[in-house]
Amino acid sequence: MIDWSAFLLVLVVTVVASLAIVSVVGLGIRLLAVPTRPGPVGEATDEEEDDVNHNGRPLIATIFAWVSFVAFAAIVLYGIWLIVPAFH
Amino acid sequence: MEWVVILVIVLALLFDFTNGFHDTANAMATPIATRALKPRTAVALAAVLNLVGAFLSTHVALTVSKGLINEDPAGGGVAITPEFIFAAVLAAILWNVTTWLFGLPSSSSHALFGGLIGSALVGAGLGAISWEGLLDKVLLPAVLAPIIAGGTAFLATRLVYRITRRRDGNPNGRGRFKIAQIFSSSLVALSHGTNDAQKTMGIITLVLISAGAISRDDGVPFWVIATCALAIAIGTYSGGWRIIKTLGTGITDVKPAQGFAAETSTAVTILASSHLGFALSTTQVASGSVIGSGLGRRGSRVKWGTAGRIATGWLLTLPASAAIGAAFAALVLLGESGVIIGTAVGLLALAIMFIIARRNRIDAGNVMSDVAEAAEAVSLPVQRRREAAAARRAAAKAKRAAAKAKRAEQAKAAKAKAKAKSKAKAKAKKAKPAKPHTKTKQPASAKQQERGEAS
Repeated sequence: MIDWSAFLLVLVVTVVASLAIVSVVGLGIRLLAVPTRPGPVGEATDEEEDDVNHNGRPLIATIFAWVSFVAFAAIVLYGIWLIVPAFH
Repeated sequence: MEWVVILVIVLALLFDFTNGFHDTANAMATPIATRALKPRTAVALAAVLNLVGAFLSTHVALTVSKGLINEDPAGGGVAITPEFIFAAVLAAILWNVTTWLFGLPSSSSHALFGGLIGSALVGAGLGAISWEGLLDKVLLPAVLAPIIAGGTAFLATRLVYRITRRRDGNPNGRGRFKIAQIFSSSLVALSHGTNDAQKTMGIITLVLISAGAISRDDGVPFWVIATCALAIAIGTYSGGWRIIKTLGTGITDVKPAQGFAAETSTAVTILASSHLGFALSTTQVASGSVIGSGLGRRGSRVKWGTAGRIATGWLLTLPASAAIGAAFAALVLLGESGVIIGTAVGLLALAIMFIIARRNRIDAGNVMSDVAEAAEAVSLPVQRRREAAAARRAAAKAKRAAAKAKRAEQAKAAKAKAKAKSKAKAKAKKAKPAKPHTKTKQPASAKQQERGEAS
């Protein structure tokens, strides 16, 4: 008997966990890119050929960005906790 | 008897080493390429995480040691002797080195399972292999996992670009994904340890069971876990130089945000599969993700030629290594002398291949990682526009040349008429008929050029 439910589980876990991770990290990075006042854009350009703007961003954006990164760490640690038998 | 067991353990650890060596690039090529990590740091990090990953779980090891070879009907161990496991591991190593030499994408895991199947078939017949376990834990995951990873990477790439897109023209800060990539590649390295190191542990456990040193219901002995973890970590660290070379030859067009999405999908797929004991090819999962994420970027499409070549390499591995495994198993049937001959033949073949590799180190295409090659299977809009422009230019050139040739042809006809009318006039134009001849050749060369660019 082939255990199709195991494959389904891998599919669901992979899709849900990957999209969750990518969402929180993407959100955090997007929040870090919130500029407040218009001003000169930094000389540095990043990999995507965008200029990096460091002209101050609202504190709230920084805070939520870090909340997103902490959420990322939490998802990863929870995932590892789930698979290590020694923790159970 | 005893020395065969020790030989298998040594060979299995060697296999583990080559596995780490082979796969470092999968995890760490992108962060080095985007300069998120220095090569040495990246390689050391990958080695440590492989080591840690190897200790995390033993599900895959148990699949290999218990799930693939049936119990011995005579009671006790498994229906295969250490000599045939020796044949299997030797076949896997040889196939691995051969594909590495020819730059063929292949899976170390499939080579191992192929060798085991071929050897068990010759050594103990059809009944020795648990076909159900093979289908459920090896063959189906081999097909499904890259597809799952690819689909997820596609969605993840779409999502990550949607979240970070901005319409007001301000910088979107996607370059910061470089830092995120340090974490996603670390996860890939960790997941590699949870799956690939386990296969060797499974083989060593299998040989111990087969020799009667431990019982079938025992878990994986701790010293086996520790030595396999070390072997894969050392292999990963040594593979670092190959990565640096890979980067010297130019890495594929993978952007940080896209790379992050691909690596996340790879790591999650492998970790989830390892937890259920699926022995899959980490390389194939990573390749699936890279292709999926490439397709997730706007306007990209698959180059079916390249994708087909990669798929052929994947399909070939299992039967080819099974054939080599069967051949070595036949040799082993001779008895202990067979094992000695097999070792000698294997070592000789390895030595020859290393000498060949040394001679044409760059041409062999062995500097590119399999995953980087998978990225080549997706063509992106920028690249395609460039190709289309080249094709258009070539076509226009051909057209112009054809028109010129036609004009020349007409002129020639007119000249022929004139020739009939007046011999004196024809003499003055004698130099010209040579021209149409050279010009009719041009369209052909232009077409050739076009064909060359299209392929």
